[in-house]
Amino acid sequence: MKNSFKKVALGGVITSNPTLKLVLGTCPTLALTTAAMNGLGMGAAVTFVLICSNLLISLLRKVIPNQVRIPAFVLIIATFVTIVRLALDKFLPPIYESLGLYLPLIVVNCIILGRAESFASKNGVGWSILDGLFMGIGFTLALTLMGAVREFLGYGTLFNVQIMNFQIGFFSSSAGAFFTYAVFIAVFSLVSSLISNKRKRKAFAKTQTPVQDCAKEVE
Amino acid sequence: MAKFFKSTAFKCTIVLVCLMIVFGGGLAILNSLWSVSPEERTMRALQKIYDTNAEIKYETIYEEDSAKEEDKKDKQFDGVGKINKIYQVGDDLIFQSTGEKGYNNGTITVWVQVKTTIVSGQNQYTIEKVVLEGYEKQTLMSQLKSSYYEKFNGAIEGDKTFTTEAGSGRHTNPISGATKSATAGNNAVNCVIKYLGGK
Repeated sequence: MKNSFKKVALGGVITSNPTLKLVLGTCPTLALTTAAMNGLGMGAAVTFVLICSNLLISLLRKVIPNQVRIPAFVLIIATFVTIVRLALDKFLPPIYESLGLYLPLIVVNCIILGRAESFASKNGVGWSILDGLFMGIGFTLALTLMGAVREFLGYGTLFNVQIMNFQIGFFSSSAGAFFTYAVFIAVFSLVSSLISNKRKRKAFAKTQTPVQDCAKEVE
Repeated sequence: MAKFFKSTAFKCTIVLVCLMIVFGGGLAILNSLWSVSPEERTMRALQKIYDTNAEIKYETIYEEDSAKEEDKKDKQFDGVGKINKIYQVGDDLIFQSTGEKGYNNGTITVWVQVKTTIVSGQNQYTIEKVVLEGYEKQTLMSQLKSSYYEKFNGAIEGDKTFTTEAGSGRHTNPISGATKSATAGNNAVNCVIKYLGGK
């Protein structure tokens, strides 16, 4: 199937959003969305790893034998995750501390291995970088939005700035994470199905118009 | 033999080994460039305590890793925890201590800033600030804001330690649903109280 910029961009952010549509990478999504900043930090780290691993996997796709592609992909992903860990620990220690255990767990994040296997190993370097970028943006947006909602309702703050003087403890708990995630998926599915139905109706209307015109002409 | 060198198995092995060598070498170089030294970590902790980005001058009084066995004895408390590090910054003593008996036998490590004043010829110790450093098996701790640790602030009264049980010692409300984690946090601070009380 032929790639286009629009298809790759919309795919990563909306139609194949890794968090809300494909429901991949749920572990960090549930655990790290207690604050918007955590979501942003995790999203940025995953985006970097996605872009770099997609780039390298696409470059080496003809060199890596099919039989060892998965171990090779994991090796490449683990290298970039280690680079992110080292860089964050050195230059952004507060974010490194807040991401904690979930930073090394990026290695086993299904989004990255999934994109490596289904896209980067079959497409050119440019498209693979774009795919990594937009998948990363989709993941970051979902995590940051979820984090913002949970932080606002759970602590009354937004990006650590006090907005309201109330707290609903439920939203900062694990149960709150599942609830917020479910609401986000439901709303996302509803909106995307409404848009897709509207598009289908438009497309159908377009195909019908010439036929009706022809009918009029015959009359 | 020639057949083996042309085989897929050989090619797979070579590709994986090459990837390992290249990435391993690259990571080794990056690690030597970006690794955070223990001194830098101590400075970061002190800057967190004093809420500043400026360089803080400190004197090392005790570090468990380099201490002799006899020096460790009065800094380890059975069933409570241990003191890992002691630094002096001006009139302040800065302790890093680990509290035991958390959830699932986990631990909590905190930094405790103690101000020393002399009142009628005797040292008076006041806890100024408690900052979380790390924890084992106590995931809830990451969700607690710095305001939680303010309950420890105040003058140290003899050997009166913190407890989650009302009616004994200095009672602190346990974290909702995590009394054992709260106990480990209390124990981390109690190590400092016990150490200063024994001096």
